[in-house]
Amino acid sequence: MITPYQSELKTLVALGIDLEAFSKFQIICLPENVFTASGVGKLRDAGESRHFAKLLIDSRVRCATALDIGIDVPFILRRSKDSRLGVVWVRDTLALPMLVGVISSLIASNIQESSSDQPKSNVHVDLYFERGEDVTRLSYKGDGETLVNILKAIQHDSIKK
Amino acid sequence: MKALEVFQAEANSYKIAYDNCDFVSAKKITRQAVGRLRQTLFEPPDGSSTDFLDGTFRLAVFFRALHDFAEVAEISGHVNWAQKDELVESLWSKFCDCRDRIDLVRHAIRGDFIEQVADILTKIQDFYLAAFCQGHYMSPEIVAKRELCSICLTDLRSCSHISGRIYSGKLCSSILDSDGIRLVSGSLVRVPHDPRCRVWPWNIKNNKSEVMLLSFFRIDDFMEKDDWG
Repeated sequence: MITPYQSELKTLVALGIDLEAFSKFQIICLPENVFTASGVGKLRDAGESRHFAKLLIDSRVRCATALDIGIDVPFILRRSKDSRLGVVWVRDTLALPMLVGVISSLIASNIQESSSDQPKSNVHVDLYFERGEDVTRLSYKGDGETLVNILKAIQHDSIKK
Repeated sequence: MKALEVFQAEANSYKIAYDNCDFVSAKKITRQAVGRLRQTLFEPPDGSSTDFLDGTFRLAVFFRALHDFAEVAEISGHVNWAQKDELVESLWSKFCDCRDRIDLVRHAIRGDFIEQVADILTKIQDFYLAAFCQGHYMSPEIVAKRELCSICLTDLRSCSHISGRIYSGKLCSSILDSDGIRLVSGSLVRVPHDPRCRVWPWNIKNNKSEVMLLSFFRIDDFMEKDDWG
């Protein structure tokens, strides 16, 4: 689904996000309800979003959380095995291999901890990919392996372009 | 004897005690080993390397897991334990503790013994799956303002430590800042973050339920408390 880039940016500005700081990063982990919350006071980081951002930084990605771009929000801890990564805004497709790597490692650790008889955990994430003046949104809730395959296809596509 | 050989000998003594169903002695051996390792972590020898401290911490977690393992065996030694609600719950909780600790150190501490322990834990899990099915678990939604890093006690977002990793003999974990914590809701899930919050059929009686909403399990509880065992 293609949505106008400007409308998302307007929402971010209205929430007090510093766009100059925003532009310095390759990936920004935003609050899970950043585009649906009625105001700054209602914003919430997804439980695993902050840990996810740290793993990306550890993989040499210039990655930010809401705090780095000017808003300090609480976070919501759901205590289920599903990984909730919130809104992940990918500004630079060069960071995609690292994004795939970090998601793969998160999935691998979940698989390791559960036997084949058990129900599998899911990944919940809203991904936004900047493409020039547009942004492509991928809202995903499902198994991690499929997400990794989708991201690899996007990565392959971006290399061809 | 070198330090590592001492702990190898203690692991062997534990195994002998365990095989003879002498769980009191097995637990005593682990308590002594954890105590000494803890002391080393609190007062490391001069010039101790990061690898040495990390290895010492992992060894302490391993012996702590063996303590859990002896408790699991002790409970399962009761006649008809699987028909006794309290014992079923208690064994499940100890099993979860033991498995989490073994999982943390399994990649670093290798050998037949740890693999045997891991195999028995898998068999226990299979038994629970066959006898009590997959089960349902409580999953509370909590809103919190901040989480602090257990290593540097600063906001976890702004430090370089990563939860679940070991830094110079200390495990990085998230500490919820008590200011501004709010319980929003509780859900029943099939794939829990914490399997200790399992809802057992007997927890729900006369339209009232007594279930664990949140556990405060710490892999490295021995670092904080003297009386962990």
